Amino acid sequence: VSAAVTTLGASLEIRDVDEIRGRLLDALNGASGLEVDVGAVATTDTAGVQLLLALRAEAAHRGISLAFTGSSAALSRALSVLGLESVIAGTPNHVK
Amino acid sequence: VSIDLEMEEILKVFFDESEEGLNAMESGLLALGSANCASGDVINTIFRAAHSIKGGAGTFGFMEISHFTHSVETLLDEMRNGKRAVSSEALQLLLQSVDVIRGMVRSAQAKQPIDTTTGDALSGDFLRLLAQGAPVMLPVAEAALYSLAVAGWRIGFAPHPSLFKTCNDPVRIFGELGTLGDFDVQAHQESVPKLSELDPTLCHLSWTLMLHGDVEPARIREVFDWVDANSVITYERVTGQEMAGPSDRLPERAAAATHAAPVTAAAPVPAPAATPSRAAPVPAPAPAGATAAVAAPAPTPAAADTMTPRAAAASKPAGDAGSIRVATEKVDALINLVGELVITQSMLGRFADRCDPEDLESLRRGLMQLSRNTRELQESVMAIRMLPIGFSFNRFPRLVHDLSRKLGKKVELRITGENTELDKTVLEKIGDPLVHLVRNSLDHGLELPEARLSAGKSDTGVLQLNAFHEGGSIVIEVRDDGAGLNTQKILAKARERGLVGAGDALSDEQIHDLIFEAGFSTAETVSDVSGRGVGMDVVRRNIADLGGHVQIDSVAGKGSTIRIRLPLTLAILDAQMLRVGKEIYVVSLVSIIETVQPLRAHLSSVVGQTELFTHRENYIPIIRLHELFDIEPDTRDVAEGLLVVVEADGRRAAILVDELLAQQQVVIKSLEANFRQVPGLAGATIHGDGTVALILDVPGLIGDNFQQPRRVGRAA
Repeated sequence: VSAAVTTLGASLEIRDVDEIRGRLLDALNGASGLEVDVGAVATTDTAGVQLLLALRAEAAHRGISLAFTGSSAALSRALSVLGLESVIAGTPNHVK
Repeated sequence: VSIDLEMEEILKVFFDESEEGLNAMESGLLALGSANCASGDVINTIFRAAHSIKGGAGTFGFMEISHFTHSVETLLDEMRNGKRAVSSEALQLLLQSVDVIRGMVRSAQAKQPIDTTTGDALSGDFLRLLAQGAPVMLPVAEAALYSLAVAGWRIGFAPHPSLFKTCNDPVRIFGELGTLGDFDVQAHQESVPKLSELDPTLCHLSWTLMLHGDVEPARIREVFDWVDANSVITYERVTGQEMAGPSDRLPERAAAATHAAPVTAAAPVPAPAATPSRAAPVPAPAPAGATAAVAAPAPTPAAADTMTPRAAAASKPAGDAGSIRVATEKVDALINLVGELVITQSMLGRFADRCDPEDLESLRRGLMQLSRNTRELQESVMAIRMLPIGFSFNRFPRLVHDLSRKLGKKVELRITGENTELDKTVLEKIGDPLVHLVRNSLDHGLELPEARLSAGKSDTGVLQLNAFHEGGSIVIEVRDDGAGLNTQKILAKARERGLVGAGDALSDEQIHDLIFEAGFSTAETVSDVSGRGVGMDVVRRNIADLGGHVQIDSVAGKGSTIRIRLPLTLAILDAQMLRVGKEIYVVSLVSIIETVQPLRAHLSSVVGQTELFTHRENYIPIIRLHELFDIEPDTRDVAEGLLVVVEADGRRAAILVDELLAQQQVVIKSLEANFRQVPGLAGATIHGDGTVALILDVPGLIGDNFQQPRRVGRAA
C-alpha cells in the first residue's frame, strides 16, 4: 500500500489549523504511511507547528509512518525559534 | 457600569495608541523609501508599532485587525532580520496596509462592523510576496561559547491555553527576545495531545528560555507585554556557570565569573500584570522593577542598577518619552481659571491708587508678586496646550509621496522646525489650509522632471515646510523651487473675470494676491488634486479666522514661498487699550504699526467720502470708530484726535481715537459664544472693574473700509 500524500498550502497558521487538522485526520484514515509536503508553507506560527507535533504523536500512536517532504524556510525558522527542530528533522524518511 | 466605563477608557487609549502607531509606521515606511535612512532602527520602530497594534487588537477582541496586522508583521519581521530586502513593492504593500489597518481601527472605534474585503485582498498579496522570495535560513545562534561567563536570564514561559486566541505567537515573541540577545530555547511538548484529541487553537506547549547577556528586566518584560495575565512567566537571573549548563566547555572562565558575581544566583522577577499594562491609563512597569530590586538580596551593582524604575522608564521607546495625554476640556477649564485670576489681579491693582499711604508700599510689593506669579502660572498652563507643529507636518510625507507618484513628479520634501510649538486649537485648524497649500505647490508649482531639466534645474523638485517662532508669532512656510506664479496668466484670468480693469497696472504683489480671490483658478484642467479654485480664498479665510495672515513671495522660474503667520495662542492677547468718548476698545498690539498726532496737511479726502491720511508717503484710509459704532467722541476733528495706524493682510488703515490707554494682556471672551458675532469686533474682554471692553477686528475693519479701485469692479 503506497503512502498517502498531503500537501500543505501557503499558510499554516492559527486561523487554518482547524481545517488542516480535519484534512490530516482524513488523510491518516486507512493509510499505512503519510507524506506531508510542507514545501509551499510561506507563513506559519506556533499553532501550526503544534499541529505538526500532534500529527506526529497521532501517527506514532496508530503505527503509521510519517514523513515530511519539501523544505520551507518559514517552517524551519519557526521550528528553530521554538526549539522544536526535531519535529521534522527527527522524523525518519525525511526528504531533503 | 463603571467597569464598562473603565473598559471604554482603556479602549480609547488603545485607539489613540493605534493611531499613533500607524502614524509612526507610515512615516517610518516613507523614510525607508527615501535613500538616506538608517534602516535597522526604522524597521524596528515600524515592527514594534505593528506588533503593539496586533497585540492590542487581539486583547480587545478585534480579531480582524490582529489577523490582518499579523501578515504585515510577518513581512516586517523578515525585513528586520535582514532576510528580506526592503523592496519598493513591499513598501507599497505595507503603506496600503497602514491605510487598511487605520480603516479597521476607525471602524472598531465607531463600533461599526469591520470590513475585511480590502484587507483580504491585501493578505493575498502578502502571501504571494512571502512565498515568492522565500527567505534564506539563518544558522542557529552559536553564541553559547562566547557568553559562558556572562550572566543571563532563565525565563519560564507556560502560556495559558488561550494564548493563540489573543493573537500571541511565541514564534514572534521569541523572535522579539532575540533582538535583546542570543538565547537557547527548550520546548516542553509532553502535553501536546495526539491529533485526534487536539483542539488546535489551544496552546499545549511551554518553554524554558535562556537569554544570554545582562539584559534589563524591563526590556524582557516588554517582550511579554501582551501575553495575557493567565500565562505563567518566571524570570530568573543566572550566572555564567549555570548558563553554560552541564556541557561546560570553559570551566576556568566560568568559575572566575562565579567568583566575580557570587550573589546573583536567583532573583525571581514577578511576572508583570500583563493584561493591557501598556494600555492602562497609568503605566505600571515601575512597581514590578521595584519589587524585583527588593527581592534580590544583594545583586551585583550592575544588576541593581538595571532594576530601578528609572532604568525601566529609560528603556521605553523614545517616542513616548516626556509627553502627556491631557483631556482638552480639563486644560480649557484651567485656562479659564487662570483668566479669572488675571482679572482678579487687575482688580486688586486698582487699590494701589486709593489706599492709606502707609499700606501702599506693602500692597504694591504684594501686587508685584501676584502679578509675577500670575504670569508664570499662566505661562506654564498655556504650555500644556502647546504642541509641536510636527503633529500637523506628519501627514505630509505620505501626501507628497502619493501625490508626486500620481502626478509623475519627483519631489523631495524637507521639513524643518517640526518641534516649534503652537496652541493645540491653532494646530488643529491649520492642518487643512496647509494641505491645500502643499497640494497647490505639488500640482501648480513644481514642474515635471523633463521641464525642470530643460529649465536647468535638478529633475527633483524641493518642497520645504518650515516652522519657526518670530516675535510672538509662529511662522509656517510652504516653499517650492518650482515655476513660480505665472503673473501673466493670473492677470489675464483676472481681467477675463472682471476682477481687474483692462488698463489697471498692478504690482507683482497685487497680482499674486489675486489668487486669494474666491473661485480663482488658472489651471487649464481641473484635476482631482487642485484647480477647482476652491482653496486659496478658503485658506486665507481660515487663517484670518485664527488671527493670522498669509503672504506670497514668488519669483518666476525660481519658485514660490507662502508664509503663514499665526498667533501662538487664541486665548490671551497682548493688547493696547484705546478710548473713544466713554467707550474703551482693545486692539491687538501686533497689528499696531504706530500712533500719530496727524498734521492737518497730511489729511485729505477723495470722492466717495473716503478720508485719507498721508502716512510715510502712502495714502491710508481713516476709520472713524465713533461713526462705525455710533458713539459720541471727544472730537470729530481728525487733527485734534490721535490716529492709530494698524495693519492686516498687508493693508494699512488709521483708526481715529481720543486717547491711548494702557497696554496689557487681556483674556479673550468670545462674542459668538456669549452674544452673537458683530462685524468689526473680534471679541470682548473684562476689565478689573467688571466692565466689558470690545476687541476690534482689525482685518475686518480694514477689509470693510479699504475699497481699493480694483475691488470696485467686483460687484459681479
